[in-house]
Amino acid sequence: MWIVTLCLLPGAGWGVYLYGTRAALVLAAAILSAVVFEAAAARLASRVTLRDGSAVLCGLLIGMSLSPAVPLFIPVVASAFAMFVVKWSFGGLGGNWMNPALAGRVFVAFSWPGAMTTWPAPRTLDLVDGLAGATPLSLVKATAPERAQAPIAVLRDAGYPVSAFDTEVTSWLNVNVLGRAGVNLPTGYVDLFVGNVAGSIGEASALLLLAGTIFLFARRIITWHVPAAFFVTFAVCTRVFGGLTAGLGLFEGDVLFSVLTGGFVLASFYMATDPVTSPLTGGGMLIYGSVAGIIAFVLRAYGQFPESVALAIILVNAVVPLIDRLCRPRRFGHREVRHGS
Amino acid sequence: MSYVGIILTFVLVNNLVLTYLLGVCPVMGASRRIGSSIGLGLATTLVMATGALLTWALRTWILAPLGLLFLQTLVFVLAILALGHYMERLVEAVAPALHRSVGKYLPIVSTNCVVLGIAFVAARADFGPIESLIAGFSGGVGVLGVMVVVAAIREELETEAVPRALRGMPVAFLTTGLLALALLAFDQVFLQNLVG
Amino acid sequence: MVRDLTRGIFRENVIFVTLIGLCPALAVTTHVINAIGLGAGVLIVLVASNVSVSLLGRIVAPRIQYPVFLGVSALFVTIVDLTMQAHLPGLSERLGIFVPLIAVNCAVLARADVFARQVVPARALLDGLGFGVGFLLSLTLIALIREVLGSGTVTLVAFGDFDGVFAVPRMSDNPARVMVLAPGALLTVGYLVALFSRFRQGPVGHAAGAEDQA
Repeated sequence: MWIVTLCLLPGAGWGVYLYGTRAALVLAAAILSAVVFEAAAARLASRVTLRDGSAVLCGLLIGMSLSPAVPLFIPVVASAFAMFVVKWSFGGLGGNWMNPALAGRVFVAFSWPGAMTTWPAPRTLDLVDGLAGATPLSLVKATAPERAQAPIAVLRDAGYPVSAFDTEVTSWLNVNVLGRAGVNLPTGYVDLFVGNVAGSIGEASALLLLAGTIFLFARRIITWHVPAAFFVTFAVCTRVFGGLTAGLGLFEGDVLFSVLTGGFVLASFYMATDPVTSPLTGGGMLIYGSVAGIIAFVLRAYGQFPESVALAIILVNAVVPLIDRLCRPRRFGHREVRHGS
Repeated sequence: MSYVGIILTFVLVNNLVLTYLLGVCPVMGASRRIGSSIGLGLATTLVMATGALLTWALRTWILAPLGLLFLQTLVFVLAILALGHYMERLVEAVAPALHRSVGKYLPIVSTNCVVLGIAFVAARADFGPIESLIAGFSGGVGVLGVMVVVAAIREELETEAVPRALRGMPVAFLTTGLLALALLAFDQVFLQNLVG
Repeated sequence: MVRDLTRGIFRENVIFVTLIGLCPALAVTTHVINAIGLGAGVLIVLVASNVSVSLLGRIVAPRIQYPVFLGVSALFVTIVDLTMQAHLPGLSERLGIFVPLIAVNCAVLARADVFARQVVPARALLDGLGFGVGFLLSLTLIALIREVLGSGTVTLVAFGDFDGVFAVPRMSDNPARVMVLAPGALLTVGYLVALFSRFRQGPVGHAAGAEDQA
């Protein structure tokens, strides 16, 4: 758990850089309250668990998935809900069947939808008035139905800024790499990739989050199954059907835009892979990831809330016991006995 | 509303257990084992589908022409009770094996609020015969799904150190509550975007 | 005789202890006034059905008792429903299908089946009153918790210029909306059941049997 926390720090640090002390305050409130509630709950259950680091990780994940503009009671309530209701009511770490951080986030998202979808501009972006308060994803969702247009074009039309860095890197890529393959990348994706966008504190930079996962894979803390299955089904659904809601045809969805927005990287690598709430076997993980990917796409395309990935994961958390029955893990010998006898 | 819309409504968006909070008692009571929850869920689906159709017929062909719609509650209750009773007999005679797994639950189910609930919902929405049947069936599928999911989670929880005060019923409520929280994802806006 | 009246309020409270008749209890408890309205409806039906069942219990053959009890309950529910529609249209609209659903409320049926048909009308009346009041109070408690947390208000009867809504200071600025949605009901009841069994101590006699009844 401590290692996962470490791997998240670059992404969290980038959020603090983008939004300043306000983001640091939200993160601190989430982590501190998670630790305090964990200690209180563990005391009630007379077990000591702070050392495993799960409370700090849970608080950090909650903080990173919030907008830096939320009132400070929101991270506190989210942490309290995660710790008391989702985790300790079911017996503490290992007993919870739903991801506490995500459930806490979803609880506050449905309770205070207004505060949860107010996005301040990061310091690196000079947003014109009409755009303050929107993320690229929410902007696209709000304007898409009017005209058949790819998401990145919607951003450009709305006047969403492109940094000089993005322009340079994109033109370099087009000349030296993509151009040879006959592809021309529009500007804007590089900003999304490095995290030069408005959004939750910790979801901005896919680059830094992915960098952290290298360590997770190297130390075998997570395996490839869940993120891969999640990505493949989400990407395929987006490619095939994703264009429909924007008035485009089949096979005209924008995969790159979809996976770089809405906290997809954070959720698929750091939240969906939570060992307690995901299946035990590789096969089970593939089913789990695939179903989550499909639901995430359906909710992203048709749901009210663009941040659909969190909801998709907690929905799939509920069927993990059923998936585990389907793919019985070998190491629980006593389950096999039923067949044998 | 289109047929697909009705199915989505009663399976996900307005799941009778997780949004109307009907049929909570059978979910709590039967959902300790997956096997029994499937049997009970199938019986519920069967009675809900046929019950919705039957109450539509009673409403349209008997109560409305006679101007007796105010007796709807009484008639629906007794009709569905009789339906459950005779359907059990039918299943017992035709398929004894099915009776052991599903049929025996039919009489219990027939006085459950979820069955009567879908009949009232269909009546208030002025559903036609096919719509009522589909609403009843998909409502039942929604209940079945919740029962099975909750049962599987509760079986897992038996090996966990759930706090003593919360063991049994309370933790079953909390499980269903968290499931309801996740299902808030599918709301009216979602339904409108998807099927118009 | 006194115990006939009191046990339904706390010791054998239908909502928190025997856990029956829950379904309508959960959905309507978004506003205190809804809870009081439905609770009062259940109270009236329970008393009336208990007394009638006690009178009918010895006349009706055991084989057809259950359908007859259901019919009696549905009849009183129809009366309550129609009266409510006529005199309290607003409340009736908000309670929706949950008023007619009292007809199959397990609490009403269970009292008829377990108790009322075997005793004299006076005891059945007290029993119905006790369990009805217990139901009403439980619903009000659930609604109070959910409405204060979820809306930051307490909605009571409106009269004159007053709309019947009290705003709770501080809570009404940023209420946790989820508490008045379905998950809030299930979570609230879950914790209240735990709290109740904690206070009652001792084994839950009825619950074990009641769980298996649909």
